[in-house]
Amino acid sequence: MSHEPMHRIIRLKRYEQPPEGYHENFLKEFHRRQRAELLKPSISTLLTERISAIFSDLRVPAFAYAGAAALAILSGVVIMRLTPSSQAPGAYSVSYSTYPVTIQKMQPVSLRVEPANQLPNLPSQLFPPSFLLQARPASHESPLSF
Amino acid sequence: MAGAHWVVVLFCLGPGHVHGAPQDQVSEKVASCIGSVTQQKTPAVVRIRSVDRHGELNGTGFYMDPSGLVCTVAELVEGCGDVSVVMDGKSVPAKTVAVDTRSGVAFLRVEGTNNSSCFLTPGTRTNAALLTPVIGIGIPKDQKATGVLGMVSGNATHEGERFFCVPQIEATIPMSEGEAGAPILDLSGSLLGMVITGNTQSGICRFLPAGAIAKLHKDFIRYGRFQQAWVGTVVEEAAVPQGNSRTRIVSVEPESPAEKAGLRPGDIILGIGSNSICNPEDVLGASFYLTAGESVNLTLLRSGNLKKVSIRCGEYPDPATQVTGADQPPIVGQVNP
Repeated sequence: MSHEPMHRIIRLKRYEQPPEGYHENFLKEFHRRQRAELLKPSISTLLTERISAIFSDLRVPAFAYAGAAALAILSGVVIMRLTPSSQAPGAYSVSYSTYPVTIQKMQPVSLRVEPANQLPNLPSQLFPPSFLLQARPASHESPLSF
Repeated sequence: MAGAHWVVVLFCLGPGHVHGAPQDQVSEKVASCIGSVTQQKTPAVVRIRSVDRHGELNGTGFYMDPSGLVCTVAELVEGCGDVSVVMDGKSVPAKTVAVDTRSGVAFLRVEGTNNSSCFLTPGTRTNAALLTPVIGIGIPKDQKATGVLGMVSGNATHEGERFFCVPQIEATIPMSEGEAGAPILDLSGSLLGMVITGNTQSGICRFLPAGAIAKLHKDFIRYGRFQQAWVGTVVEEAAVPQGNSRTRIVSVEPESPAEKAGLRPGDIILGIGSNSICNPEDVLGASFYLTAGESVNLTLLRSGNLKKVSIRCGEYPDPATQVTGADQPPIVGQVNP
């Protein structure tokens, strides 16, 4: 490829002059854009910059950040472990759920079958009376036998 | 649908009420008829209260005879304690004397002598014609007994792929919670059945026909327990009907009454007693009314030849679907799988 066309253009540009006041306007335009760019950044960016500026003034060593983060995590774990349980050991709580009674207990629960007249009055005191309409459908026969 | 109710009721009351009669007079007549039946039969209707492991259960029941026998749904008393009948605001202890989970019926005996002088005797009707106007008298929640008008909308033989032991009747009666066990009456006040289940949203309920209750009542009076009959065969639908029946015996239980009578797999059942059998599910409706210890004639088709066999029915073998017994305490606290 020949460089002659390129050389011709450069020769022409050598004698080309900018319009009057071009350099003054260029400086003004630069400053205007710089101000606009400073106002554009998001709040998070500004916040990060300012925090960085503050810490840079304090001259904190770099490993201090890692130490602070580790301390925060350790504190969280300790607080979670030391929070007292709302239930005393062995106590149970009764709550409404899909099943009428939910027994939450740390110890194994033993179930025994006993007549209704020996049951405590716990259920009737806890739950409102229910009114039956959807009785269990009459028994289903499958396969068909008689 | 509500309009259809009135058309049916007007038809039953007679054509004179439709042609030329003022609308308000017809309405008065209908209201009077319903009010009269409800007023006459309400004293027989009682609230049933029991306690199970989840708390208090409430439903409806009705006196069947002057001895203080009350009929209700099995679900209300099976496995429950502290069963009582609430009548005129007073709670009277009752004892569960018989439960049949197959049909969903339970009988209670009210302790004491202050029983209602009004009772609803179950007739022998095992079905009801379509669009028959019916009245349900139930006790919804904390309210008093109320009569609700509806009409028969069909029969229900099964739910999903499984069949009821006896066909139930469907009716467009908007029953409310607490009305399981409510009696269903016709416009003359005769018992047509007892509500087994209902849907408050669709306003449709299913009730067990009075004939089924009458059968159980008869068993109880005669034997002191329900005598569900058992023949010992399993049937299925035959691909090709023979003699207008598709009911083919698949298997015969060993040592069963059916085996002793000589029934064989492949036999086509044409009739059980006086009931014609066309489809396999027909055997359930027919066999429910058989009584253990009694004989029944079966009409069969074997290799194209008509055959009549007399079978002495055995007792239904599944103890879970039989009588609980009056003296056995109900068991509660068991964990369902």
